[in-house]
Formats: sequence, structure tokens, C-alpha cells
Amino acid sequence: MLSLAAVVLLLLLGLDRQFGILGPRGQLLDHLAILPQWKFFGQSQIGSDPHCFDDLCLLARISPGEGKAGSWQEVLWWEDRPITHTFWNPLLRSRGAVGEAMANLTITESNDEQQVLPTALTYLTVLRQCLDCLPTDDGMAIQFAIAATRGRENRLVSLRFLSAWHTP
Amino acid sequence: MSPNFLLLRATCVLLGFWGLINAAQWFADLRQWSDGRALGWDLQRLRRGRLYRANFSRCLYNSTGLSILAGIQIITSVALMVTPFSVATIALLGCFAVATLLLALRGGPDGADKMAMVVATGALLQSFGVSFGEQRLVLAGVLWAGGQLTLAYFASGASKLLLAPWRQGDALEAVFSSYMWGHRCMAAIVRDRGTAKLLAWLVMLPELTFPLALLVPFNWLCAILALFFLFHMAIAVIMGLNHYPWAFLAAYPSVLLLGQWLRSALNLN
Repeated sequence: MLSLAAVVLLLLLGLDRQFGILGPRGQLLDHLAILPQWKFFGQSQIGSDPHCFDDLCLLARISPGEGKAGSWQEVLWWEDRPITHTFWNPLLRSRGAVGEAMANLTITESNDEQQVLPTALTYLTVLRQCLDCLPTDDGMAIQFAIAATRGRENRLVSLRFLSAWHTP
Repeated sequence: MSPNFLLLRATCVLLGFWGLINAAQWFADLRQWSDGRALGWDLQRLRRGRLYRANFSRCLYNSTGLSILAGIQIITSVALMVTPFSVATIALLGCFAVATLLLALRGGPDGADKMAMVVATGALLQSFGVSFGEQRLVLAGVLWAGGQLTLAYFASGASKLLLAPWRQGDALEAVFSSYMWGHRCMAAIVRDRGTAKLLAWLVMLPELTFPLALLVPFNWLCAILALFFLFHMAIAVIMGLNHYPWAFLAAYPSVLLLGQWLRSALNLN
């Protein structure tokens, strides 16, 4: 009887949790699937942020030194989805995690004038992604940018974030 | 054989199928999660939280630890699919649930991970109940998995309904027109604002009213669940969320049992 009562209690608490914003403790219970929150594209920020479904692309460029800068290269971008992704999509998780870091960076650093703390985890995650894809030699520097596009026709590209130059 | 037992067996097979896909995808993308890479644990352990700072997590979440976790998930998944039900199934479900939880915490759990953990916990309770003749434990397991699936559909529909961009079809149009979550065919379909709005309501209303489906006769409930599975498959095609259908399908046997018990309790049969 105790197990049944516990399950009923958890389901009632779970119903209560669905429509609030979770604090750190609530998030832990959500991640442990004890009181999971089920939204599926119904997150409250959709109501206030018209850009939340924009495609974010990660670009990077390398400077060989002496104040020169190379051309921008795509590091993480989105293309038409192949039908094979219905059954096999191994990059879903990692691309999603880096994409989330990019999105967080554009949200937390939306003020262009604000200097980014280079210790921020999201910043380092995105920077590492660039270094993974565009290896640099000694003395070279790398800079990354996050650009956004919307829809599939007449796509306008807007710059959301521009990093400082980094020497690995 | 009792329907309880047959549906528990079906749950184990479906859960095993989800686990196989999940673990295989972890193996295929392991390089991205290894130390020195963007998602390596040497960097990601700086996240706030005790789990991330704990010393054992460094062994657990480096590439060797992740390979072992994914390996455990594959072995337990295959065993859940092919071995007949016995007391050992309890141990298999326990190992499966722990491996799923640890992998999910590493990547940041998505809806499919959470549903798989819910179903695994529910199946664990049911297995205890079946093995030791405790009907209440079986009921608790069914109520947990079936109740969470019902809650998931209801909450998903209700949270969308509360948002104006969803009610007007704008959110659906934006999702399907994006490259990250959309598809070129769906982008062409939702270009018409009226169609986008209609499709948005065709997603929200069935989700919102799903709890009522528990009260319809068994065959009707089967048909409704089949439609929801097709919906998940459509999402897999359009959005590439390929492991969602199987995690949710694994909860359907519990929903079928829950529906039957509810109808009996309310004298609707």
C-alpha cells in the first residue's frame, strides 16, 4: 500500500511541477526522472522570445599572425535532414549540447558591449568546438562568431555573438 | 499467461530496443565526449553540482567509463529482449536503469531518456510484484509508467496551449521551417498560415485530452495509442528525434493495463 501511495503522491507532485520554472533542486528531480517535467517545445520562453527557433551557426576564423585574419569557416551548421535520421542519428546529442551552449551564450551575452568572462563554461565549450574543427599552430589565433538565420527563404544572417581572439 | 505478465514482457522488449539504439548512438559519437574535446569531462565537470565535482565522476565519465556504461546498456538491453522473464529480470532492469541514468546525466537527459527511466522504474516495480506475488507492487509500477506517460502528453499539450505563438500556429511554423528542427517538406506545408494553425491545434488538442483515452474501451485505446505512435514516428522523420518513439512505445503496455483497471474500477466494462 505504501508503494502505491508513494506513486500517487509523486504523480500529483509531478502534475504540480509541470507549469512552474524549476529551481536547481527541481531540476535535479527532473533529471533523475523522479519528478520529470514534460514540455516538448512548450517552454515558456517561446511566448516571449520570437528568435528561439532561429538556426544558430558557429563560424570561426584563424589569424596566422601580424594582425591578419583569415576568412570565416563554418564549424557547426544545419542542413536538410536526411531520411536516415529517422532511425540513426548519433550526432543528435553532441550537436544538441554544443548548440545549447551556443544558444546560452547568445542569451547571456546579448549586450554587445559587455565583455565575456573567458572562464564561462559555455564559452569554453564553444571555443573548444572551434579548436577541434580548425586546429591551429603555434602563434596562430582563433576567433569565433555565432550567426543566426531564420526560415528557408530569403534568409537574412544576423550576428549574435563575436568572441575575442584566442591563442591556444 | 496473465495479461500483466505479457504486457510486462512487451515493456522489457521495447525498453531493450530503445536501449540498443541509445547505447549504439553513444558508441558512435564517443569521440566528441572524450577529454580534450568540447564535451569532454575535463571541461564539463566544471558545471555546478555535487555529481559533477565528485572524484568518481572523472572515472565514470571519461571515454573508457562511457564505453563501459554504453556496453552495460547494450548487454542488458539484449538480455531484456531475448531472455524469458525470471527473477534475473529484476537485476537486468536494475542495471539497465542505472546505466540509462548515468548516461543521461552525462549528456543532459532529454525527454526520451526520462521516459525510458520512468518505464524502467515502473517495470522494476512490476517485476518485483510478479516475482513475489504482490499485486499492489504491479499496480504501483503500472500506475507510475502509465501515469507519467499520461501526464507527459497532457502537460505537453497544456503548456503549448498556454502560449499564444502555439495557438496562432507561429511556433509550429518556426519549428518546422528551421533547419535544426524542421524538414523541407513540412516547411513547404506550414508556409500557409491557416495550415500551420490547424496542425498546431491537431498536436495540442489530442495531447491535452489524452487522459480521457484511459476511459475508452481497450480496442479504442489501442487505436489511439497507435495514432500517437505514428505521431512520434512523424516527429522522428521531421525532427530527427529518432529514439523518442521507442521510449514512449515502451510505456504503452502500462497505459493499456492502467486503462483496463480504471474502467473496471469505474464499472465501465
